[in-house]
Amino acid sequence: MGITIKINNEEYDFEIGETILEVARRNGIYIPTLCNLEGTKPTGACRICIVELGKMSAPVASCSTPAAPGMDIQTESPRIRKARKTIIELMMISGNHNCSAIGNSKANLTDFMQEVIEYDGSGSICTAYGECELQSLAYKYMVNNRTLERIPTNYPLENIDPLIGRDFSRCILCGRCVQACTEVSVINAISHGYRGNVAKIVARGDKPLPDSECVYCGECLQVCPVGALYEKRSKYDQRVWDVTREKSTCYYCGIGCRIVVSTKNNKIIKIDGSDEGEPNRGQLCFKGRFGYDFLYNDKRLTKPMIRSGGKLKEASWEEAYNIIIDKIREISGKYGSESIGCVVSPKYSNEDLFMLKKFIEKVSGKTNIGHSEPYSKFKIEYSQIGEYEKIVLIGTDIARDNPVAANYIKQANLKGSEIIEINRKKTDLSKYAEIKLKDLSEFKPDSKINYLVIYSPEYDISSLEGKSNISLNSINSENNTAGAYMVGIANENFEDMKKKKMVFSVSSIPSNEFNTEFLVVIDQFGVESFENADLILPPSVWVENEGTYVNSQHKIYRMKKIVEPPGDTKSLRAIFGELLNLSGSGIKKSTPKYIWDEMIRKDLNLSDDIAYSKLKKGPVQIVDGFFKKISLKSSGSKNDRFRTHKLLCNHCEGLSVIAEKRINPGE
Amino acid sequence: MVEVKVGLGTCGISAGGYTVYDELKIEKDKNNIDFELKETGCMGMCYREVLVEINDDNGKWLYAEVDKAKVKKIVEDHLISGNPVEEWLVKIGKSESEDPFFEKQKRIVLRNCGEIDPNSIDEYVGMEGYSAIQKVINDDSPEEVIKSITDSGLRGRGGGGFPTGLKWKFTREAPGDKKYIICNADEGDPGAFMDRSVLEGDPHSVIEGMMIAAYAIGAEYGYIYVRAEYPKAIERLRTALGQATEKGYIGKGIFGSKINFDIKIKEGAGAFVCGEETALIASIEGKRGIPRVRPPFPAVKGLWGKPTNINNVETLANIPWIINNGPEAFASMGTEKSKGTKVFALAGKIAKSGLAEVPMGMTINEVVFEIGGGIKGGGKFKAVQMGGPSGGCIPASMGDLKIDYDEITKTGAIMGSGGMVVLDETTCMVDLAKFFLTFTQNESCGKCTFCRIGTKRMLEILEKITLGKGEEKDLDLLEELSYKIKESSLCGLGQTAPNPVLTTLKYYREEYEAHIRDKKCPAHSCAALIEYKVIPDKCTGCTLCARNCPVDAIEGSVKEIHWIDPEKCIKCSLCFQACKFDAIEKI
Repeated sequence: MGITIKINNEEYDFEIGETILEVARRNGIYIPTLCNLEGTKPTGACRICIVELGKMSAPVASCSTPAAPGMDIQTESPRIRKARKTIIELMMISGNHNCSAIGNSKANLTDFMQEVIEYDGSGSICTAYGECELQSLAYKYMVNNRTLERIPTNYPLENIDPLIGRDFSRCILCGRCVQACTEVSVINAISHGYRGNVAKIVARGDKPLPDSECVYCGECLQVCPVGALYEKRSKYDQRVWDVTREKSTCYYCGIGCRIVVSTKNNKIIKIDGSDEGEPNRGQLCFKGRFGYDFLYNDKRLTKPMIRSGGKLKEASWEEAYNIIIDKIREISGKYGSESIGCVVSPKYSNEDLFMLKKFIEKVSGKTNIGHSEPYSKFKIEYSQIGEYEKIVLIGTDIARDNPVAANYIKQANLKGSEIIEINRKKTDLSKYAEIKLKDLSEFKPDSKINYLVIYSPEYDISSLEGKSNISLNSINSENNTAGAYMVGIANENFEDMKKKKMVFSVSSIPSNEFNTEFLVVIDQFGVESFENADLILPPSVWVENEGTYVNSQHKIYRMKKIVEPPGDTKSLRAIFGELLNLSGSGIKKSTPKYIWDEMIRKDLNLSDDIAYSKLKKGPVQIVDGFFKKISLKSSGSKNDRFRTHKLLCNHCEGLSVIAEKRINPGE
Repeated sequence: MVEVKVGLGTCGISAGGYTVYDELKIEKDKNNIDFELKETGCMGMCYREVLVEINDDNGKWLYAEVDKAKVKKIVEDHLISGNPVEEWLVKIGKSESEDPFFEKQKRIVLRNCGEIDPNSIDEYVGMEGYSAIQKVINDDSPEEVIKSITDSGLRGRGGGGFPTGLKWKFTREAPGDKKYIICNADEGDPGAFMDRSVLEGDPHSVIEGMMIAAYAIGAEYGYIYVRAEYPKAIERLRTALGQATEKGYIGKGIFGSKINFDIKIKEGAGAFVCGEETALIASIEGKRGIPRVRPPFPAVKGLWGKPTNINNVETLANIPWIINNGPEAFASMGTEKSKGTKVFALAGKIAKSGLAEVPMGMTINEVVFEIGGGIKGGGKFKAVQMGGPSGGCIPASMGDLKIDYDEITKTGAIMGSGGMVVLDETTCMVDLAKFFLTFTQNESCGKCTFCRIGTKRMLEILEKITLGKGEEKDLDLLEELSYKIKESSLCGLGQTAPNPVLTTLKYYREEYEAHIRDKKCPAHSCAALIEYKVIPDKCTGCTLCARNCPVDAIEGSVKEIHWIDPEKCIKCSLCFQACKFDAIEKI
């Protein structure tokens, strides 16, 4: 038997270094917390987690007190409950906690609500009502707020930011947002400011958030236990009883962050990082968190468009299909079937991409399909980044391309890992780099040290290959690049495909870059970027469809359909399933399950272990053998990736706000 | 040669010390007299600044309240003609009789203050300076030094009273190749100026103390964290550090050994909370000065994550004396558990305010009456407030209490860093508690809930009471909040913030009750609860009060008895102060 402590009269083992709170949580003993943020250093600010160490000694904060042998702890003694009630009441009476207004006999309800209306212009009950951790505690500890006078708030609502609302009247100064900003995303945009009763969470110099170093990762929003920070676009859509929550995977880069999608009336209103573990452990970046409203953009196409009389006009799917089939016949006849090609951006599911590839193979007789993303693999878990003493970043601006991975790198740096950056340009991580080199040839690794190399997939790192002390890793910028490679779509013929006579463009390349006789564009938006297109098909995307995706770690995830696609949009697999049938292939079904189990798995000889039904349980790692590893380091690809993001930004309020300030994706 | 020293601590300077100094210089040059004119630090008698000491063959002659006009006479009579100006003297040559202010004191920490020129390292060396550090380097192992300090019984003079030797031992034993010693000179209690005076009067003793501590714990770097509001202290510290570096006393290979030691000065921006060790460390690191949780303790993980020992100015100034005179000599002074001396900054309603160093074990009455000369203006001694905003009140009835860490703690006050505010019958204890709570509320860093919101709530209740709007249950609420804040705040600031309220409630509950029940302030201090009245028997009808009243609340014509209209009166007290016949009373 190891060393033990007693909690509520029961003995529990613990390890040196564990806090009382950790031991309690590990054993399912409830201790309330507010300022505690897992994965960051405890601050001991809120004091709600105090526990009793014996009648004679003062209570201690369990979040920050290490367990010691022989401790005899009470977590809910009358003395502790009384102290907690006081803490909760002290918080509840400061500011506009109007969830408690009715229980507060000290405050004149009408005056109080009047004050709230003057403060935030709505007079609505706090946006966090129903999910507020403070409110829950007040309920649990039966706090009636009757002993003390309410004090109004010191600072006005900060409402000028388009994405993040800051309601100081509801801030309890737990400091979790500061922890998130300094220890999770390591941006250091916000901190504690002022002192005593006028303390406030401030951005540098107490400027409004938009003028600060904030990069809109929104980590602070996610950790705020009360209604002080909220996503502005859905401020009053967030009532917990109106909202449905589903887990999914992010639409953006190859990390494939796990997300929790909140929807209301078939519409996404908020996205949070899912804390289920790898890869992102709850973290998200600005793209993943705010970049969802392109789905609801006015310019989104919901019907096929065909060129008639020089102009693009709405049409039915049937009309569009007929034109496509006719054109294929015509062009094959004129130039041979191999003059038909396809370029695709790997943002679609494996099933979508597979059906697209099948169709192109059928009509061109070849694998005339390419994308522009280099092959890459991230070999370790992201949380293992911190285990390396030396992290080498080669040619990558990772804080912009894959911000969550940059979080892990900065966290590792805080704990002592050294960053070596090899890049001609200055990046967002340059300031953390101990060593900065211009060219890979200047890098002289020490054979006794283990290096973690994270490189841009475009960068030639062949000189580092085959060294046992160097782990080479890269991350794609598109979420299903690995899936595309898996189903057999690579990047070697991308440029050639653009020059074919008839091109299916499932990408964001502007139509004037093609030299075709007939251009079919499949994209959510279109008319502006694709004015030369002969035909545009509107796809449903991402959480509008069910399907499987492979992230840059080569883990396969199955994703649910969360919202209904708008208008007449269709999934790629449905579009090309129907076109295949029209071209004479008997495709029985185009459901994701059928395509995965009966087509992809058979095609690739994948075992029953990754049957569609089994993927439901969680991600499965895929071994390298299944990838068609023809990969060119460069295929003019960067342009396409940035175009995709730029196009999204232009159609996404959430991203365009940030784009202006930060990502400038057109560069 | 005859020495003439001018007390040029901040106290002397603000009383016009430099004018006196310059005048002495002019007179010296004009009369071509051969004497050495010197600056020195605070001599302690702050209530009689500017002080000038003449040191000649007949002993030390101390002149008090010297101004420009008096200089000429002192120069002519004393320095030229050899006839001391007796009526201005507080210390007379070789005479045994000293001013009782000095007689009862035992100056260890202040051994050189007011004696030597703080800008001269040679004078410090002349007073056995830098001999203790050489002694320990040559003769003692670090463990032996720690043992000496432990044996001396020295406890932390910053207020906590933690045994210094033990603190050093922890840092010594903490694993780590790099360690730091920090001198905490962030003296922030209202009414406290002990550390400032030591730094201004004898900076080298603090530096030497740090060197010995550094040697004992194994540190090569030291920081002095001093508030920017102490410009003179910083200036003299910089001079001292420059001189010590120039002489090779600090730097690489000190005193021929292989030991390196360097000191940096870090100026703080005057946040009270930065006196708390972990907040102080954060501030040196360039971060916001807020306390963090412990453990880890600074002795294990302090500045830049390295083992760090933090001592207060006064603690460090004791160190060279202990090494030179032996721990036994130090331990022979004081009580069983509190050894040595303590410097107090006497302030408030005391006749002789100033700096006094007394052996531990002296009673409060001795300090107040024998050294401090009792209450200014002959009022009645009511209480002393010790330990500043973290401390509490000790009532006059407990005046026989010995100055001893543990005895004082038993009363609910704390020894603190040495602020001793003396109160008389005109001080309202509720108002006093409010004063200190206002201070802590403003100086709270705002991090933990109890200290941020709890003290604010307490302050509001106190405000209510002093306005006569208090309710009976407020006292229970005050007490309840006090105990919770004390128990569960994050750092020392919050944990001690309720002390002024708790001690006044303990000893003067009836004053609180008078405010609440009778709507009266027994000390006639809370404006909302007093009334100004003309005493008809004494009023001569001079109209002075009416002429001074800013709101025309006083009626009455010449040679008639005046009357104050309570409806109009704003209780500004101007009439009370103006009346030459004591014909206005506060009730």
